[in-house]
Parts: sequence; C-alpha cells; structure tokens
Amino acid sequence: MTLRDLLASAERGVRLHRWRSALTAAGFAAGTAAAVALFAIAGGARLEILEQIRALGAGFVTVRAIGGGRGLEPPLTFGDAEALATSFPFVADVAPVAVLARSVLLPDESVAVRVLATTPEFFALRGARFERGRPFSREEAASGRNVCVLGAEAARRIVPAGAAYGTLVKVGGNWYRVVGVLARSSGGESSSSDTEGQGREVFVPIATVLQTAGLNPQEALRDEGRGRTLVGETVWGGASGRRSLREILLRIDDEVDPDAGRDVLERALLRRHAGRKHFEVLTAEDLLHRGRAARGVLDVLLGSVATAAFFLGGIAMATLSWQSVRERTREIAIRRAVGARRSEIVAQFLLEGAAIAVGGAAAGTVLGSLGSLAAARAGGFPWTIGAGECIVAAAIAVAIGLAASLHPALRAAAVDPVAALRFEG
Amino acid sequence: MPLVSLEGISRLYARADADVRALEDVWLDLERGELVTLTGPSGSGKSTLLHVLGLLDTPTAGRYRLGGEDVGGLDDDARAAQRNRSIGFVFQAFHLVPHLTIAENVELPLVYRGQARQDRRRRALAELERVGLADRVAHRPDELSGGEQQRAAIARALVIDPILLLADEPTGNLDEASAAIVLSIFGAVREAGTCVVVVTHNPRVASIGTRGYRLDRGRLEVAP
Repeated sequence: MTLRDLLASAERGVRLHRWRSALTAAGFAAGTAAAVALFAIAGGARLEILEQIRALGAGFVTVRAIGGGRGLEPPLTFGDAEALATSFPFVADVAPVAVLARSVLLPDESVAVRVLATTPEFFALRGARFERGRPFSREEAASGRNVCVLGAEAARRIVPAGAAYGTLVKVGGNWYRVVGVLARSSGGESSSSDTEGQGREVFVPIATVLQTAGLNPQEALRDEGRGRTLVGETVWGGASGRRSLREILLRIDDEVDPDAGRDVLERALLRRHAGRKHFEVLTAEDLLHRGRAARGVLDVLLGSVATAAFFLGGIAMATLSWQSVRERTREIAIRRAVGARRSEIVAQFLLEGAAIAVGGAAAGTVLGSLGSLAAARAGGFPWTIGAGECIVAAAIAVAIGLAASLHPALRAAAVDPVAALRFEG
Repeated sequence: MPLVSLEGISRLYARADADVRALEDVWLDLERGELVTLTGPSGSGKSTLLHVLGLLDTPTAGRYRLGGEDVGGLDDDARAAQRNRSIGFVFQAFHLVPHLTIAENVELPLVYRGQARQDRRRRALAELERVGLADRVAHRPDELSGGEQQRAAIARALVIDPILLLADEPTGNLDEASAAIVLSIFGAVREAGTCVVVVTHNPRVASIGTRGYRLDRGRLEVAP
C-alpha cells in the first residue's frame, strides 16, 4: 500500500465520522491554541525582559519603599538618596522618585495618572525611549521651569486625540509644559510599575516642585537628611506616605559586581533606618526575576488549559478510534482477506488519528496565534511567535493523537478475519 | 504437481469445555481449471476448510502446498501477501466495504499490491465489465441489488487473476436468476484455468462441479 493510498484511506475514515472527528479535532485545536498562546506570550515576555536588561544595563539598581514607616518615619527619604550618592564612589547617577499627585487637571476634567517628581537622570537610568520630545534638562530642572514628561498611556489619557507634546497640564495648581512623551514599553515607567503604572506617569522635575513651594532644592534635600520635615506639608500634602520617596534609582560602576554593590547599599540604608527594613534594594536581574514570576501565573494558567484540552482531546481521540474500530471490524476483516498486512491496518487507523490531530493542530495554531495577538494588543503585553514554537505545539497534538489511537489501531490489526467474516448477513 | 495439495490437515479449536475438531486428517489435491464443490451439514467444517485453503486460518496439523510452495509455515505477513497474489474470496454476505464505491471495492486488493491508481482503475473496470456491472462503478454497495453486489464481490476476487477462487455459499442470498449468473461466471473462470472451490448447501450448485466432496464432522469424503 502506497503512502498516498494510506493518506486517502485515512481521509475517508475521518469523513466517515464527520461530526465525531470534528469534535475530537476541536479538542486538539483548543490544546494547540492554548500552547501556541502560551509560547507567544512567554516568548514576548522573554523578549521584553531582554529588552529591559539592555535598556537598564547591568549596573542598574533601584531602592524601593515597601510600606510606610512606623509613625511619621518615612520608609525612604531624600537624605537616603543623598547618602547613597555621596558615600559610595561606585554609585553614579542617583535619581530619587516621589509620588506627587494621583491626578492632573485639564481645563475641564481631572485625569487619573501618577505624577512623579524626579531628576533628569531618571530617564537615562531607566533607558527611556521617547516617542516625541526629550527629557527635561538639568538646566530646566535647576532653574525651576515648569516642564514635564508624559508616559505613553498618560499622554493618551490627557490628550486622547494625540499631540500631547507641547501641550500644558496642571499639576497641584501649576501648569507644566509637556517637553517629551515616552514610547510604549519604553522602560521609562517607574521601576515600581512592573505591576502598576503601565505608562500612566507624568514626570515633573523635583527641583521645580521645591522651588514652587518656596524651598531651595539643595537646602531642602540636606535639611531633610537631618530629620527635619522635608518638603513638608507645603508641597506633598499631609499624608505621611507622600512625604517620602517612592524609590531611588541609581547606577553602580561596571567594575563592581551588581549583587555585591546591592548588598553594600542595603546595609548602609539599614544603618540609616536603625535596622528597620522599609525598603528593598533590587538589581536589574532581581527585577527581571520578579517579572518572570509575575508572568509565571499566566504561563501556568495557559499551560493548564493546554494540558486539559490535550488530555480531553486524547480521550476523545481514543474513544473515537475505539468506536471506529468496533464499527469497522468487518471492513478490517475484508481488507485482511484481500491481502492487507497487520502493519497496514495499524497505519491506516493511526493515520486517521493523526489526520484529526493535524487538522485540529493547524486550526489551533492559527487560532492561538491570532487570539493571543489580539489579547496581547488589547492587554498591551508583548507577543512573539516563531515557526519553531508552532511546530512544537502541533507536534505535541499529533503525538497525543497518535498515542491515543495506537491501542485501538493495534486492536484493529489483531482482528481475526475468520471470526469477523463468519457471521453472515 | 497439483495446484493445491493438502496432506493430513487437521484443525483443532481449543475450547474450555471440550476441544472442537473442525477438520480431521484431510487429504486433497486440486488442479487448475477444476470447479470443486464442498457440501455437508452445518458445522461439518466446510468453512474451516475454505479458510485453511484461503490462508485465513492455519491448520494445527498437516501440510499445505499451494503452487508447489509449502505455505503452512508462512508468517502472517507472508500469508497476507500470498492471499493478495493468488487467492480470491467470495462470501455469502458479499462483504463489500459499504463506504467505498463499487469500483473502489474491486480495486481494494490491488491497493495492497501498491499498484498505481490508474492501472488499478483500468483493471477494476475490466472486471466489472466482465461481470456486467460497467454502469455501476460509482455506486455504493447499498445502491445495488444482492445479485449485483455478489457480482461486484466476484469482480473483486477476480481482479488479481487468482489461481484459486474460494466461494462460501455464494448463491445463498441470491434469487434464481442472480444465482445462475454467478454460477455461469464461475464456469467461465474455471475454463480460464482458475481452480474454483465452492462451499454450498444447494444441490443444484453442487451439481455444476467437476468434482464434489462432502465433509462430515471434519472428515472429507467424495460426494456420492
């Protein structure tokens, strides 16, 4: 029997039980789609992580506040930032980040964004890419100019029709001109925005905020280090959390091992906070591990769906094959009588199973690719899929299809033609 | 050398309660161009002998030579190949594959020969023409009468040019007219040199044989 005849025979067998075959194929389609989506989303996350590593650089370190301090003690302060910048020769480009407000005002509405006060170094430290414009400069910051940079989503919210660049937004009673708009997934978001933020930030210069409040930036920063209320209620309002820093970004020299540098900085901060750890110090690699862990939930979910669908598809395939063999016992005996070898009967039924699995896998690959692409676009998470991943997902489907139809196929080959043909009529 | 030579063939079926001796010490030589009829009561071993002759069943004792070759010791694949090469079957219930067309049914043995599609179709059409079914090639079995289905089954058996044609009650489900057509085809096949063995209960069918045998409780004897 030629391969072409085997394929034709398999195709006939599939068409013989059209609906049952279609239902079984649907199980394989669902499994493959989930597997392809898993690969696509995991692949996208991998790419994003690599992109972030590239953008941040190995020496990137962030110190994050975790929860408020006891009483009035802020978890992170400008004094901490100053200490890190001045005490360690291997530390460069320190950028403190404070949450200034939760919304900005437009002429006729308030838009929920996160207003962060920081220094010009922030953008370089985060490896930010700009869709339009630029970061605010040291000169602008030092001279107290009312300028700001918008995250991509913030720009979309503030000026839905686009062209946020150059427009004015009002923060805390003052108008700021937009000098730059970040690209999507540009790395410009605050590093604490791995699970929040999503580009909804408005960045303003800290020095401008302080000057607006009538404080000398340099003095204000130093004073705070000695325990006086920094920016006080005058700038940040009364809530204690807002007085403190959200995070401090910095870069450590290439010659210093990032992990070793992190440990040194952590010990120094612990000393400054009397051993109370209201912060965490994370290197670029630490952040990436966290990103992976967050994605892991989605991976497990999709993996479970794929496994369940493949399992159900396999059961459906085994049932279909058993039923097919039972219903076609006489046909098998006829084929054996006219000269079919056992191996040809096995091949025929295996190919029927494989054909259904391949059909389901092909449909699932298309569905999984397009579905996950649509979901990625809608959800704003990265997506990438290669032929290799599609082939792996389809191969899993076909392997399960073959495995599920193997036993029925062997039983078909074991049909005794004498017994099957004996009962006439 | 005879075409078929059975030497002391026995077929024992082991059963839990008691063994069943379906064939016992059968000796039989068959020549080309013979039409041999096998009669006997139900359960006498007629079908078993036919299955042994057709390499569908293996004897538990004795020697079977087909075309001079000892085929008793062949493995399963070799027996399948031998059936495909040399032996045609015709059954009482026709046993056509229901979802294949008549032409595809007739082609089936040639599929397992690996013969090219066009050659197969040409051979199948020639056989269907020979049995008077040239206008039924694209029909399904259930669209044909019993007589037509049996003629299609005969065409399938003849498409390989068998040296041995084995028919088990071939007219059992047919009316007189259809039975007469089937028997006339068997006569023509015999004259062309094929050895035809027909199992039957029908005395009229038994009378057309060049030789007749009777089986009784597994023992073969010349029919009276």
